[in-house]
Amino acid sequence: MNILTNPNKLRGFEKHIKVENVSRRSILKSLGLAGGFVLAAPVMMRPSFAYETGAGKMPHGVVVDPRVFVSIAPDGIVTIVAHRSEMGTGVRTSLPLIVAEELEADWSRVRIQQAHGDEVKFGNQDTDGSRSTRHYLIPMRQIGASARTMLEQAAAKRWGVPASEVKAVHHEVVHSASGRKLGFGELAADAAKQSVPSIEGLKLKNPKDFRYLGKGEIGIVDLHDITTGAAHYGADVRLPGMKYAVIARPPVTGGKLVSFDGAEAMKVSGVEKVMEVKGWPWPSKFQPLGGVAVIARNTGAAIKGCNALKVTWDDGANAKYDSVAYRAELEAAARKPGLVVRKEGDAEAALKSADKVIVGEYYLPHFAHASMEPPVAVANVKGDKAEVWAPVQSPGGTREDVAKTLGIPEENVTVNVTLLGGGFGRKSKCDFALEAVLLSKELGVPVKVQWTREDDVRHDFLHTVSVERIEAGLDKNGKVIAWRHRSVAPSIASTFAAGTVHQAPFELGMGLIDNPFEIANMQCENPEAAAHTRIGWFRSVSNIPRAFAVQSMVAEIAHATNRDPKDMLLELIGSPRIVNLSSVKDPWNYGEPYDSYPIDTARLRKVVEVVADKGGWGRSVPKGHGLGIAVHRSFVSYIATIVEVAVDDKGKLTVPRVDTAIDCGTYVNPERIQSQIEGAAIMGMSLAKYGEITFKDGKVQQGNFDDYPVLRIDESPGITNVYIVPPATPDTPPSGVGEPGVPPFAPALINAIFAATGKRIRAMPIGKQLEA
Amino acid sequence: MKHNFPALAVSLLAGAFLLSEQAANAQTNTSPPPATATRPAKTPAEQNSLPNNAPPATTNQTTGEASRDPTIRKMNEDEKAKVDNKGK
Repeated sequence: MNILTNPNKLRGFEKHIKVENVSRRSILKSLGLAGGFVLAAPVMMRPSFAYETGAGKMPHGVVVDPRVFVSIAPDGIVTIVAHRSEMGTGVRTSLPLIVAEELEADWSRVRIQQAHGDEVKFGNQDTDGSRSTRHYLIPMRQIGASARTMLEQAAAKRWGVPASEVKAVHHEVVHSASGRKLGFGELAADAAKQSVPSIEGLKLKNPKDFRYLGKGEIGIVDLHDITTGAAHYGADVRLPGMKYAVIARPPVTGGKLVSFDGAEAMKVSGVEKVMEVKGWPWPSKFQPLGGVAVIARNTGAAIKGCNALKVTWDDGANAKYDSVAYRAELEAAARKPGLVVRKEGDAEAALKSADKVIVGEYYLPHFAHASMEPPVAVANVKGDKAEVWAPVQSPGGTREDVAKTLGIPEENVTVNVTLLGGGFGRKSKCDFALEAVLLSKELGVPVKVQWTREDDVRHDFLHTVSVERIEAGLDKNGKVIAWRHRSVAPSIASTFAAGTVHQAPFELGMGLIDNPFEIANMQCENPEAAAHTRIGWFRSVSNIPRAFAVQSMVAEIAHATNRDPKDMLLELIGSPRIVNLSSVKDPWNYGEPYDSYPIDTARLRKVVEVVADKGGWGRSVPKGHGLGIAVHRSFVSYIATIVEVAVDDKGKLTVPRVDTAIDCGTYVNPERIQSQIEGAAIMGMSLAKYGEITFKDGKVQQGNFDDYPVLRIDESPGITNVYIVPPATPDTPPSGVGEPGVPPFAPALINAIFAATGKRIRAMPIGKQLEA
Repeated sequence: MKHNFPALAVSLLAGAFLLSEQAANAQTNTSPPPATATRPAKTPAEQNSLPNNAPPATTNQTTGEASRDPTIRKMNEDEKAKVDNKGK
């Protein structure tokens, strides 16, 4: 068991590693002047996996070529390309660290280059779905091992000895028999001339010899810049002659501009132009909403000018979207039969014959992503070429969409990725970058489009709104014999498919049809739910409402049967086994093959047992305190959480302690796992306590942190202990870390509140419910 | 070295007095700040919507429209196929 108890020890930022953007110029410089280990023409290679993953099915798949990702300068500095986007997960450190490990590079002599958007060259770049380590652990090891082998071959050739007699060790290649050594820099030019070894013949390091992986002693490469304010985010990009734009967008999804008067806006000092921005009818993937842009010499003037606009909108078909009324619609839908998406046994009959039926109906409102950095993008369009600088999670997808929107070839589009000040799925959608390219093309100068906080909250691709209704039938001994779960929520697919009323398989596979409980009569249904605003991916996606409902229901059953909630949970999970989903027509498994990533209830039970043990489940707590437990499998990882709450006599809620156990298979950087779980606890509590976007007359009613609060530091959990379950074998496939921490938090919190107060909260957010 | 304690005391007292005055002012100013460059008005006064007779939003009536733009139609279809395959 790897128990991290001293995070300060792991948090030194003594390693200042500069991160640069990859540009064609820098690569050519490295090749031509420095004589380094890099070629301009990459070759795509098929990876050979120790286990199968879904990586190959991602758009543009995986590229395993050391010449694309690694260069070595004559002075020995190793540069490794980070092709994923850094939004706080540490991926810009973790993936290059894997390469460095296999390469036998000294991490202090490694530099990181941020890749631009080019999936033909780098393979899939979508930084989402908690997939980066899952899909790239083995490919990155292979890249590092390939480069190491080429260095060893170069050294052997120079010394005239068999390659089997030399070995790369900590930035040198050594010939033990003669005691000769050569540094990586001295070998770089010759190594570049070696042929790239076949993947099948590569010898990977024995994990017991790992210097960095799994150790948790490496700070993220951006830490120094982030903590000293030197880091560059999207808003920090400035180009000569650049104009600043702020846009008034239709306040209702599907609405459009009727007319505008920019006379008052033009009176604002610094405002130079007021113009219409093209929009597309909804649904139109990630295309801009359109509206009126105010172009100015600085962002402040653009915002003031935007406030002075006179605009008339046609609100369109969603003008009556009202959160209160729609919630009633969702509840009504959940009380009627819906599309059956999983059926085992006969839940209907078993519920009728049950000794007792417990019904729980759980409501979760829309959430806005509200990353600290609102969307922002800079674009420079010249003729049939476009260059973009933006904090995007999908640089390859952005490149593709910019090309299609402008009607130019993809190779004419360069997308430079800045640091992301949070993403949470919002920045997988590139509408803000498309606005910038449209304006730059129109104006013929570089343009920065800056979203305000209000723009971000009011024009988001929101987390869906949902009602989850669960009916559990118990026999006379209190054993659960029937389970019917109806999940009603507008689908993300409505963002690109008109007429969508059912959730897509990938949404159903997040906590509904993949329910691991060992219950003979199980039925899952998905009644219709049409969307009336833009719905998008939000960290953890549908797992949030599903875990909230299922894990709350477990505690409700435990209470009704006078059982311990943890024992009830283990009883429902049942025997250690691989869950058979053969009754499900489309058993989506996060895009992963089920053989590699089955639902393994032994692992699910294990995290429950670990967190119960380490987290002191059942311990005595002071009056007004309570403990709650929840477990959830998502992004093919297993996570269990215990939350301790304190609720005072005025209903003030605090969380003194959180304990979380995670089994994410083979892992790279335990310090990042810890920080992701800590962040998930804060985000989970924030959403549970405050998260709610409401609509009236089709318009979002919130706009900033005064009416859409996020958790403040003084409200955050006091202690978050993280227990990482070690992988069963070195070949255990890695699984997700960025998202899985969020879903179990809210139900553990709600169950703890019930234990402390006897109040069962079935609708989020908690808000003032504890004050009653 | 000779210390001038009375002068120091006066200075501290004056500082304390000034701080108290500022705090009092801050507490009595309860009206919300006006819109500024970095704090837009909550609802821009000059933006309005035409009268609208849209039906109430329901769970079974979709309101989006199929795009007639072939490029967007293709982008929508490609995205649908992509998420069906990879989920996200």
